Amino acid sequence: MNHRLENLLPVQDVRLDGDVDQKGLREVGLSTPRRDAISHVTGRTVYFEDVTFPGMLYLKMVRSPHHHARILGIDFSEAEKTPGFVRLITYRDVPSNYYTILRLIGIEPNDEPVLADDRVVYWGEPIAAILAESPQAAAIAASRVKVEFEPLDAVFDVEEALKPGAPIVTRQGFNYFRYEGHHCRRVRFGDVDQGFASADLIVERRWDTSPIEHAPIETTGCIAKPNGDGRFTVYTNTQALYFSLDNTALILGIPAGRLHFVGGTVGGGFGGKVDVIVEPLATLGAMLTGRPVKFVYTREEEMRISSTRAAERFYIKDGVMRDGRIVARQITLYVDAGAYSRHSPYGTTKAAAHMPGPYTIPNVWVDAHCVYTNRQPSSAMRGFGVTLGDFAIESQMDVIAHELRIDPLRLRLINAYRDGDMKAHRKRVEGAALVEVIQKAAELVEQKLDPDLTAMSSATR
Amino acid sequence: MSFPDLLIPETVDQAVETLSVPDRKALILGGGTLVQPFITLGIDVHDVVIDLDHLALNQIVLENDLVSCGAMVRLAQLAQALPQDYIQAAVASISGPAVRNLATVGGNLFAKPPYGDLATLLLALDAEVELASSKETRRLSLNDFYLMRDNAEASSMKGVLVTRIRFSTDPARRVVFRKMARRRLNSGAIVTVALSLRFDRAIVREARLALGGVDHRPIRAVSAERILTGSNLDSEAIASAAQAARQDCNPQTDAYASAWYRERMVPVQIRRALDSLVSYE
Amino acid sequence: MASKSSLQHFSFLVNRARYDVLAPPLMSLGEVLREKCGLRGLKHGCQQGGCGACSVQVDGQLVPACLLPVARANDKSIETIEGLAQGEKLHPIQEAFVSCYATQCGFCTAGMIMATKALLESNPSPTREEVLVALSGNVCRCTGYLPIVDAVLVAARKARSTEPAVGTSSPLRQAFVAAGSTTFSNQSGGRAEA
Repeated sequence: MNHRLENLLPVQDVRLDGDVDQKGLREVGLSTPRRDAISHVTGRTVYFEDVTFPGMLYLKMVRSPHHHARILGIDFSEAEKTPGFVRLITYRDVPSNYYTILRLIGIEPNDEPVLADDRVVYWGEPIAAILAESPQAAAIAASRVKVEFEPLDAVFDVEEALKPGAPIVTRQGFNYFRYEGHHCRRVRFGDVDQGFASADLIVERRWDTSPIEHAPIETTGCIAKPNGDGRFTVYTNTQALYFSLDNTALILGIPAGRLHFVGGTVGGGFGGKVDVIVEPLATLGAMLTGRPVKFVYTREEEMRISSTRAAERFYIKDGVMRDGRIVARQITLYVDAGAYSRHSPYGTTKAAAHMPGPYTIPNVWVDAHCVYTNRQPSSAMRGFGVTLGDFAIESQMDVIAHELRIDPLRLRLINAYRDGDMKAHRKRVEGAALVEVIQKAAELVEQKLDPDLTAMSSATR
Repeated sequence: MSFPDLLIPETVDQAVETLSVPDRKALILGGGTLVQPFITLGIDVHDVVIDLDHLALNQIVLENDLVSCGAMVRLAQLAQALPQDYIQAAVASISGPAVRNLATVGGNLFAKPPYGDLATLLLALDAEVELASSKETRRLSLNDFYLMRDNAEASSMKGVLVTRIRFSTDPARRVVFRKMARRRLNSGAIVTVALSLRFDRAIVREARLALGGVDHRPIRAVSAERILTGSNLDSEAIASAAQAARQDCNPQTDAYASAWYRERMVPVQIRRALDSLVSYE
Repeated sequence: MASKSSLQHFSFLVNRARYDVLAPPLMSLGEVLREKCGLRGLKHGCQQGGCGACSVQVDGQLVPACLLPVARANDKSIETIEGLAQGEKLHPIQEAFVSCYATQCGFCTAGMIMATKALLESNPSPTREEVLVALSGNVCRCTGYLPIVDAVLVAARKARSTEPAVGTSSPLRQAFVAAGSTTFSNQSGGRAEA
């Protein structure tokens, strides 16, 4: 099998000189060196931690060792005696103690405190911040903070969390996000019961995924520096610079104009640096001490505490005909948001809209739940809400193909949506190319398609 | 203030004397690969750190098949000196090249699971450690050293320093090293198997089967060894020995694998190690 | 017996220039180079020797700077990423990383290049498997590693005498194919046998 790169491109050759003009294209089809490559290979790229200031303090977080507990009291006396200790921050010091991620995109309630007040709902939840003269002194002082807890029952499974009697993770009294008064996102199209009744075969499977940690080589962090004129400059590796600036302003109760955020150079994000977690506290630390404050995650914090891709669970029930047509698809999916919302309610909406996949199915029923458990809060990661849905859908398609003894490509080509088809969530298909992409891919791997399949197009069924 | 004091003894006697100082929490700095992170991250803070780098413990002496290895010999240095495939395999299975330039043979004896793969091999080779203390210098088998540590009060082990490790590379022994890990390179052990057999024609005269990653330290699977000794390594003996080893283990759950999974992988990896010897013949 | 506490004076060469620093003896070389010598090319990805982003050469040996206390670097000759380029003239390894698209976020890059340099100094003609082993202590989350392996093989090939290129296409692709690249060729595998 010969898959030379030049066979894949519309151009005859790939050059670095950039002078080629292919049908008016000056970038597509050409090899262009990355603009930042030389800076990276010489070690000259400036990441947030490559900036430093005299008198800088280091912030270390005191975190919950319990999955779910009431906080009965905190004793800072030993910590305060640690050489190098400068100051501590608790929820009382935070002007507006709630992250506002959702409010900024129109979704409420804000459920996640910046620093815990009377309870913790996940292992690693931040309780108090210690500021010290060196990272070692901060870590040592933080380890000497004594917190008294009353451990509570915890729940770690999405379906368990929805059962009556499950430990309640949220302050609202129920373990799911409410979408306009409903307990989940719902998609209803046609009548799946009728579809199942008319089907030749029912295929039913469950698909599960685990949380995935982005694990960027650069851990989450920032340095907040008081400029001396009431403004603060924050050097950060967030993927969401303006989002972080706005959130920080709201949490600190200051006008956004007093903040100058410097960033855009991220040592790997993948969606793991969109949660605005470190900037508000580092900036508050700078406000309270008048000194620059660095707050950077250790590798352990990055792996165990920073947000992950949500674990998801899918129950897919399909009614299929012997000739491969899928006539009914019923999906119940659960997104494990962990202890707090972050971006999961939005991700779950996307998941619901993404069902039933790029296929025209006359009867579709979807319930997509955003569920809270006492796990690490999950958030964005590369196509969150959508990519795992594709894992479940496409795995299910392969199972159907196997059960029907039909070529998996045929199964997809038969069911692929065409231009003008109505999708289950009431949008018309436009610019579909699934059929053509499958045909081209089959050609490239030298898999012969039957004539009726090669004759198909996205323009007609 | 944020770092412990660094003490640099110039002789082994000085080192054991300073280790024996009472009411002082001392951390031993060998290669640094296991302890420097705790110092840098301010975790489990000790009063002092004792540097072993100036005690001339970094020599390897080869005499016929006998290897005498100072505790501070680096893993990369060991691999350069000894061509045996099981030594090469064990060292290559540990971390990456940069860490192997620093990590020491002595340090690996104390590496907690899922690490300690060279120690697992040394256990199967019946390695001997030389211990220095203020009272005496003595030698005992690595297995006895581990048993002593298991049963001793922490205070009685204070002031005891491993200075030298001795083992044989006798070619009459058939040695297999096998590490099951999530990735092919630079990955902690799910189960490590180190096997050393002496044969009398087709009969196993002596069997040493060491396992790593399945307890709080490398262990000898004595139940399996009993079955292998005197057997001719037929498939029944292999299957039976592999299963018997399960009772010698007390695996832990960590980020790499659950205790449940490790326990079930033990007989699989042992069987594969034994099968590789049989097919060789 | 020497007893060292608080700050102490250490002296070493970095990229052939002498540095004198005052530091706690147990502060890591990585922290010292970054915070006291202003050499921030090496990165801290884990502080545990697990990611390779802090790799430097000490007396020619590849070492994770986060695992070496500065006391042990005294009187040594250290090489870091900053020592490779001569002004605007890139080292051949750096050129290969640029031309092979072996960088994305760049955070692992300094460590990867130092590991490459250490490899090629001891083994100028590594096989693909030898490259994988030499870089096995360096983690990358962006590139999927293949462009980096290509870059190492291209750098190795460039450092040796020029050999006739294989294939009829661009110099860039010729270099890839000739170096045994599987990113742009049809050779089987791409993963060495386990």
